[in-house]
Amino acid sequence: MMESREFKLSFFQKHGEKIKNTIVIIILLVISLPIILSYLWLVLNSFASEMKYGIIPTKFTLEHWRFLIESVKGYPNIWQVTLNTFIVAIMVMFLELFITSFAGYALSRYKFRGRKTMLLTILVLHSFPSVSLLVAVYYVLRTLNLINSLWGIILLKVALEIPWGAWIMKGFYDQLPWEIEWAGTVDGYSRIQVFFKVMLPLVRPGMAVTAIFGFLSGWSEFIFINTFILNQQTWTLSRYIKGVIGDFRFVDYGLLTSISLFYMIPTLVFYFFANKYLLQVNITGTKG
Amino acid sequence: MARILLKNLSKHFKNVKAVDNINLEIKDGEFTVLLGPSGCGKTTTLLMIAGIYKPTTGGIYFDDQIMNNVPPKDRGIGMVFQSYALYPHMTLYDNIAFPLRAQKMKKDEIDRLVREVTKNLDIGKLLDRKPFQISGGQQQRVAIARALVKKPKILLFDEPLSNLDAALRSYMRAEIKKLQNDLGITTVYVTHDQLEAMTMADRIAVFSMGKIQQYDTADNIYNYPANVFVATFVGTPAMNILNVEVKNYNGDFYLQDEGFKFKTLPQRKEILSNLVEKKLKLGIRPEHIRLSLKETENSIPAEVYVLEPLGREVIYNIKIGNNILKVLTEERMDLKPGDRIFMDFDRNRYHLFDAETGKAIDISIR
Ligand SMILES: Nc1ncnc2c1ncn2[C@@H]1O[C@H](COP(=O)(O)OP(=O)(O)O)[C@@H](O)[C@H]1O
Ligand SMILES: [Mg+2]
Repeated sequence: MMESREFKLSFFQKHGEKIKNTIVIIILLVISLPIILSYLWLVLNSFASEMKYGIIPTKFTLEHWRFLIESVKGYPNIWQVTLNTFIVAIMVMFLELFITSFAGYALSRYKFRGRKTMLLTILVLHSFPSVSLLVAVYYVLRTLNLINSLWGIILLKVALEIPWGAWIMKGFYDQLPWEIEWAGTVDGYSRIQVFFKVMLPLVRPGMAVTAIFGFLSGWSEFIFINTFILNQQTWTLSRYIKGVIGDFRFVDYGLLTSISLFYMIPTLVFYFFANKYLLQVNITGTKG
Repeated sequence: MARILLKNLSKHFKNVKAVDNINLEIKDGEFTVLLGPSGCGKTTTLLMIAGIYKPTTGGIYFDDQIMNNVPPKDRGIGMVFQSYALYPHMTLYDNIAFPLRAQKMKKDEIDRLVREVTKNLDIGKLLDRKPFQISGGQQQRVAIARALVKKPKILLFDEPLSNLDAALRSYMRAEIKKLQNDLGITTVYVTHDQLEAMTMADRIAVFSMGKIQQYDTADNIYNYPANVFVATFVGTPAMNILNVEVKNYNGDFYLQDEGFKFKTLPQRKEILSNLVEKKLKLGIRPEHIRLSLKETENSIPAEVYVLEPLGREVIYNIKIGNNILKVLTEERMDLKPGDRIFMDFDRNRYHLFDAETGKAIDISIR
């Protein structure tokens, strides 16, 4: 009797951790089930010609992916649109990276008047939706003759992303001790040389994070493009998808699902390579 | 090589006077320690010598040249930081070669110098590793190698041993001292550890509240402290301090407070007669107090408070009046708390300080 009771106790002690983990995983699975299912549906639908009850695929087809080879009637060439999207995403990424690498350093290292106010304002500004800026931005773009131009969109996105990116970069610079920077100057380098040889290599994870955010924000930009890009040749993918959904014609769900998946690929690739850096983001506030 | 001169040097941060008008001359090839409690301005002074902080007022001279506006990279200094400050993204080899690359030196010359400096420091086999792959003691030696490799005129250390364990600290103390002795580079070494200061320094500058309290050899600092701060900061256990007044009883002079009075040597009559009724502090080092079970001439009664055995020596804490004194001796006495004993001290080895200013009063007999 005694023995079997002891055995039971030790069974739960031994496996308690595992049981707990399993329960947690099941709960998480249930919560995220709708999301997982809808993505699954997206994939299935894009390769199926018929869906029984709208959910069970019955026939395999590549028909919906034809848009990759030939232009859909009434829409611009998909590769032109993809190229446009890449141009926006990559330019936003590079410009933002370039500027915030310096700006984050300045915010972290230099004490200047109004620094604290500036840091707080950045956070507040970032929480305004970009829709609220549309009218003002329209006048600016028109004055600069950048309506209907990808450059207008790029500059706009960069301007709006810089504050947030600078804040993230500041967090990474804040983690580097002054002593390392001092060591560099004692070792015979000027401060700007130390910046390039010591500081920049050490904030590489921060640069990766900023690059991802910059790329994705450019890649997924919709409102400004929808408003300021009128010419089909300068569409990006988000605008293309809106065209597919929003036309008065019959909505082609097959095309919609396959192009949505196509649109998601770079995002997935980016997250796959970058998630280890994303975990390092550390927003350190206005102290120091 | 170089002589360092600090002239009326101050550094203020907003309203904090981190360094307050100090004057210091460090001779060519000398090993000087800046000693003081945390927050007294040692690091700030060192960073001004390095050129990282700009002085608020005053001048820094190397030899006879004013350095105030010379950037750190042109000062010919090597520095070892408390955190070692190795570059985490570089191998140890690249860390040590970094100062040489700044001088656009040839590759094989760099290689020769790196091998040479690492041979003596016993890190020659680790050079392919990154800083996070080696121990704290090894990191420290890499930091020293990096400071030495460019053959600086001046070496600066900021609490380099404070992150090491006790055994390694004692070993590195001797190593650094030997290194400096062999190379003869003018060295400024910051520490809050008086043992480090006493064992390593040619001269010690004792800091408190941004000011230099005393600048002298270890022996003189220990035997002739300039004020109460230096007297109690240097030496373990610390010097015993008692509030006393000088009293004249029938031509004999006594140091007296409630609960005790010590008779002084007749040779000091003249000096002490000027101090009668003045508020003073009496300082006695723990090793200059003698305990005995029997009363002797001039001894006074005391009570054992607590014992602190150290293995070789014992610290007896004794009570006289309302004061607890520490007594350091190798002599073993069978005592326990509450026992009555008698204490006496060497009447040639005590210190008097002005109770108000804390300054030492010269009571030496000429
Ligand atoms: N960069 C700084 N800004 C403001 N105050 C400082 C700065 N550096 C040091 N202090 C202040 O100056 C005083 C001396 O500091 P420090 O030289 O680091 O002391 P120590 O090295 O002797 O411990 C301290 O009160 C410290 O708070
Ligand atoms: Mg310090």
